[in-house]
Formats: sequence, structure tokens, C-alpha cells
Amino acid sequence: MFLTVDTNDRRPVYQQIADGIKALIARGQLAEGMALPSVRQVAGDLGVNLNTVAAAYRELQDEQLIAIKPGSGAVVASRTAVRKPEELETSLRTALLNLVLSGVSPAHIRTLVAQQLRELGNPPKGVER
Amino acid sequence: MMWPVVLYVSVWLFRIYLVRSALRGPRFHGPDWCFDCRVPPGFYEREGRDILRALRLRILAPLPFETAIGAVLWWDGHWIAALAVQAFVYIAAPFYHAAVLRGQARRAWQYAIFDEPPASGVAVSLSPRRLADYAQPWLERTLTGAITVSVILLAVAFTHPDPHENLTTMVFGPCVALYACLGLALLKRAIVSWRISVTPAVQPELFTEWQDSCRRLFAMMCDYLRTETVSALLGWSVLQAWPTLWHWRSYVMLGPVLSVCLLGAIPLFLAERRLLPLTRNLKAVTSRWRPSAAPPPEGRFYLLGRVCSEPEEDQVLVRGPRGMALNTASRRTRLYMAYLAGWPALVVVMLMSRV
Repeated sequence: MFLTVDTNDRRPVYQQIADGIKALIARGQLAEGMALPSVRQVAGDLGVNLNTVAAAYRELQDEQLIAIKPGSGAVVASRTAVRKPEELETSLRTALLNLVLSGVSPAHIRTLVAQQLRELGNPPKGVER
Repeated sequence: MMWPVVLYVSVWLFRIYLVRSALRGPRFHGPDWCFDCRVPPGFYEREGRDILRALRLRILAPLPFETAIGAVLWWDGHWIAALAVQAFVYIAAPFYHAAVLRGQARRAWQYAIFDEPPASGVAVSLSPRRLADYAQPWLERTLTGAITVSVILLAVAFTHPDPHENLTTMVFGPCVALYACLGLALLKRAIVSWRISVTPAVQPELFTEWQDSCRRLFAMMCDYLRTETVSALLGWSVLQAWPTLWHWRSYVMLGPVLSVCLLGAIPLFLAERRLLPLTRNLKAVTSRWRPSAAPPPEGRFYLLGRVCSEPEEDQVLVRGPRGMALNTASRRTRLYMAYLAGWPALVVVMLMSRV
């Protein structure tokens, strides 16, 4: 199971790490209770700052996707992130707005959304709120 | 007196095998390749020639010194010292070769050519790496048992010392052996946490499998050397506990060491052979990937371009203006430095106790 960080991606590295782990959790590749590597291991393997990886893990912990136990590392805690409904709507609206402003037709947006959902495969229960 | 010659020649044969493997490194993938990157035709008549020359110089340069030191020691009758020098070289050579090859491979990347634009991403495996995954419980139990028995035998010998025996000699050898074991355990730990190389986002499974096999091979080497050291310690302890066996000291002391040396080399050799096809497969990955040549972060102070203090990075070696720089802020760097400082301290203590 791999996490990819692209040097050409405009998102900060910590965001790419957090998003990558979220995607693996959403696809079910990282199941509940599975151990994640330590912050030191990920930082060392990627050749990035410790704080960069720690920030990504902190974000995942804030959303209650992972649980960090001092001394024993991080484990996947849940497949459903704890986020406010307004926050989710804002994220969706921003994404849709960017697509519309880029000149993508509503039909194509629907296709893209369906494709992304298909790629996620088996979404966890409780996502539809 | 036959077996020291056999052992010396065996170690030399292994040494020559390692030198030959290192010199084949640049053209391992074929004539159009230099280490892990594809190079333009005629590369070895131009820039490649310098790389080959630098590689040969660095790999072959220690050989005359080793030969001269070995010859002088044998000539003088110090065959144990000659074996010890050669054993040290045998241990250090793979690590030295790895560093030289890595340096020259980095030079070769400047001339790499690609059929398609190289991938820009790097990957990281999300499988936790633990020391226990690279340890063999039966070996650990055997080594712990052998060390315990040795300490008990030495304690017995210490309470009933032979009047002709020097106590410093009796204790110093085991102390060196135990301290060497500690160093090898630290080295193994460092190998497990070492990434070896950044994993490209192209076929990361293939690359990770190769990295893990390299890591296992180096960890096996550490176990092999630890077993050698502990068998020497056990032999020494038996001799101290039963001084009557001193007449057969060659068999008691070096018999187990020689057996471990020759038998233990077989799994190592097999592991190295298993690594070859994996290394060949890397062609598919490295032909579509170029390692980042990003400059080191600004505002960082470097001592001679090789030493820095960067508390936010945990790695022992970080990017510096002249390649890699030692990061003194890392907890592990301090631990390794403290360990290395222990060696001269140990020698000083021994010398003082003799006075």
C-alpha cells in the first residue's frame, strides 16, 4: 500500500499526505485497526520534515480517522471522518464552483463525480448523512 | 598452522568477489546504462570514462595498503593481527563500496536520457517497519544464551584467576566483543530505519521489494558479524574458565569462529544472488524516473559543507551543499557519535589499567 507525493502538485506536502491516507481509508485499503508507520518513518522515507508528516497525522486525528497512541504509533480509528455538514457543503460548493468557472458542463461534472465515486469503490457506511 | 592461511585466503577471495561486483556496477544493466540510468551512445568514451576512472580509483585504492599491511604482519609472525585487519576490511568493504557506488551513481544521473518525460512523484510504503520483522527469534535466543554462558564462565574464571594470567587481558577481550555486539545492534537498527533510496511513484511495489531485500541482506550481514563476535567471546571464555585447554586454543577459540565464518557466508551469498534479478527489474522503474536534485534549504549553517544542525529533520544525513551532510541535531546521530567515542575510551581504560 503506497502513498504518493507529487513534486508538481500545487497542494502542500502535508495536505497530499493527509489526502492520500484519506483516499486509502475511503477505498477500504486501510481498514479500521490497521497500524500506520510512525511519523519518523514516513518523514525519513519521503525525505521531508518531521513537522510536515506530523501536521498531516494531526489533521487525520482531528477528523478522528486515526488514533495516535504515544509510544505505539498511529492506527486507523474509523472510516468516517468527523466533520461539520456545513464544512462538507462548503468544500463541495468550492469544488463545483471551480469546475463551473473552468467551463466544464454540468453533464460532464456529473460524469466526473460518478467516476470519482466509482474509483472510491466501496464507500463506508454512514457517509450518506 | 594451515587453517589461518586457509581463512586468510578465503577472506581475500570474498574481498576480490566484492571488488569485482562493485566494478561491474556501472554497466550492470547493459552497455547503454550507467548504474540505474540510461545514457546516450558513446557515453563511456566521454563523461562515463571519468566516472569509471573515479570508481576504479576509489574501489582499488585500499587494496595495495591491505596487501602491504597483511604482508608485513605475516612476515613478522603476527598472523592473528593480519587476520583481524583483513576481517575488519571484509566487514567495512560492503559499506564503503555502497557509499562509493552511490556517489558515482549520483554523478551519472546528470547524463540520464529518457524516452518519455520522467515521473515527478515519490511514493512511500504505509507498512510499518519494525526491527522485530528483520530479526530471527532463534538466533536472538542463541546469541543471548551464548553471551550469558560466556559471562558466567568469565565470572568463574575471575574468581579463581590463574596467577600467570593478566586480568586486564582476561577482561578486555570480552569487553571489546560485547561493545562490538552493541555497535552491530545499533547498525542493524539504523539499517531497518534506512530508506536506502527515495521510492519513485513508478511501480513502487517493485522498488520497495528491492529496498526491502537490500535491507534484509544488510541486516543478515549484521547478524552474521554478531554471531562471529559472540562465538569468539564464547571460545575465549571457555579458555579462561579451563586454562588446561590452552594447549588446544586454536581449536577452542578459532574453530567456532571459522565454522560460523564459512557456514554463515552461504545464506549471505544466496541472499545476494536472490537480489540480482530484483536489481535487474529496476530497469523498468529507473528508466522513467529521475531523483530530485533540489538544492539544500536556505538559511542553514554548514560546517565545511558536511555538518549541520537541523532539529526539524530526524535523519542522520540530510541534503547539504556538497551532497549529504551530517545532522548533529538528530537524536540518532548523537547516539552513534557517543558509541564511536566509546571505542577510544575503552582503549584508554585498558592502557591505564595495564599501567
